[in-house]
Amino acid sequence: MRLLFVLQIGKNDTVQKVRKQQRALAGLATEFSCDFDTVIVCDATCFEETSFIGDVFILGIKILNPKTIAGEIVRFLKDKPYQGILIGEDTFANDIAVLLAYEKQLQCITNVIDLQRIGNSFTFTRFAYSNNIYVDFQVRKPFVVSVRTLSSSKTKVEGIRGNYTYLESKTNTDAIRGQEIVLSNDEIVQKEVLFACGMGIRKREDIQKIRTFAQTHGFSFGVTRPVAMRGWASISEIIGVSGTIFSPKICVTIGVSGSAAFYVGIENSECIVTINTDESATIISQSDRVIIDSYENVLDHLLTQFSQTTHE
Amino acid sequence: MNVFVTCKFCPDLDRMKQSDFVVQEEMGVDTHFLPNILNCYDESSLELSLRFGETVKNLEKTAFTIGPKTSEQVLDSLLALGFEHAVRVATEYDVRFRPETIAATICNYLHDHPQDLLVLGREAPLGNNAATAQLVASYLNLPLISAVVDFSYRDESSISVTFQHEGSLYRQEVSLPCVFSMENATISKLRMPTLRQRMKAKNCTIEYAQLEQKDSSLFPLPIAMRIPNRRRLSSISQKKGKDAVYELFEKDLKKRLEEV
Repeated sequence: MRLLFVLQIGKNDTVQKVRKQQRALAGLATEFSCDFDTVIVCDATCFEETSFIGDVFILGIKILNPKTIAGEIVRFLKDKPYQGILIGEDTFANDIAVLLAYEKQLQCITNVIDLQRIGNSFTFTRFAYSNNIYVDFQVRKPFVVSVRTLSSSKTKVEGIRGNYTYLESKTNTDAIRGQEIVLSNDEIVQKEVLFACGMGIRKREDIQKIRTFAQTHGFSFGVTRPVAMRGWASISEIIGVSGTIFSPKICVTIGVSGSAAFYVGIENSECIVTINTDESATIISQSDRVIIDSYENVLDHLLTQFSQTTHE
Repeated sequence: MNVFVTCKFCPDLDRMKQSDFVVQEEMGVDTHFLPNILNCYDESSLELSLRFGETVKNLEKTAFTIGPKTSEQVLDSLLALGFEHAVRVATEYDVRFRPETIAATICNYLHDHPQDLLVLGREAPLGNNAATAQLVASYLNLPLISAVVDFSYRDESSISVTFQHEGSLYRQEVSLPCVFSMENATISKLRMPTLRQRMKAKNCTIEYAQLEQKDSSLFPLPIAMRIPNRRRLSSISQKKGKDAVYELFEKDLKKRLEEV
């Protein structure tokens, strides 16, 4: 059985990040006893050949649009007998999966967080009820799924050198007349420590203080959706299902209640430290270390300790 | 020009604690006691469409929902706010995991009421299928712009749209008709109608459309549901303030930060 991975290198993605995605999917394919090929969608001028494994097809695109990308992949799939297509995590991953499912009449699951193969049968798991419930789906071949938060697999695949083929983009993009970049967010690179702020922080200045501290110390910073909706942080700083998914070694949550939509964004943290006044908040049982106190009593000491420890 | 906006009223699941979620035999979760709210992406879509209407002459706006009679309270508000049409599809049928049925129902309505701009939310509870906008664009063979955060009038045949991709913002000029899948828009809160607006709209009526049942050929139905186990160590410090922070670093964070 042969699988196709579709990965995208966005403007702010490092090749290493996408390479890690490919290795994780390759490990999964090995566990499933499947062979695989990879299509990498990117601006072909910035592609580095050295990082990937197996047969790799480079699809260079100029217009960023899920229907355009899906159209190119449909063209690529002609006469190729893939039994499953896995779309790697990206803003357009769900779009591409559904568009491919319709065009090729494949069974489809979006936002998959776990995959199991038992014999010829595949079971995929994703969230529903705003990330509060796991739902399992049994899918028949051929299928297409968009994969979310699959950062590694148990099986390591190393040493198979990439064999690269460059594809020519031919899909008509007449409906889109022009494209310009309005805001380039170059700060999305994930760090080993994340500070996450919630509505329990009562002053805008305190949010700014934590943001500045994180930025000057090389840490990641983010907020819950309500904080961004209040206008105290930008939309690109939202953590969770409608924002960025982080996987830091240490995540510090301050004044966060712990809604499921937010928690998905920090779930992969190695250690979650929580500062909250409410002992019954959902986040408490979902954290490793907890300080029950007003953040105002704790914040300055916490930042000082972080600063001292990282500079030692 | 006309714009078609879908909206969904769903239980406010953030009010429920993880421990309160119980999966029932018929693969559902009892949420009847929760207040209903507008899906966050739909709320942005509705407000942005109203603002869009303030810049475009003779823009005809339609709000469309599939849901229970209680949804009509919000549809009445939308009529008061200036939507020319508010359409409800009544259903007793479980459409949670049937995006093909939802998309076919929307397209069925659009067949008789063609639109220039279709604005749909990225996803909505309870199913969180994240597939309706893409299916509608496919069924109608229209361009799809995804992760939209803002849009503005350009001319009668095109629109300027801003979308995000991996944290960066892009702007494109797109020909109409087309489908937008809305994401986290900066404009996120729907305005409230004034009493005068409500009085003015009291004779406006909600329209009704039929559900178009479609087999789930592409999207299989669930075979199981379960509650994720998110429990961690949850070690609560007995200390406060500076002492608690010192203890936290001595017991745990110092070692972890050294590894970093």
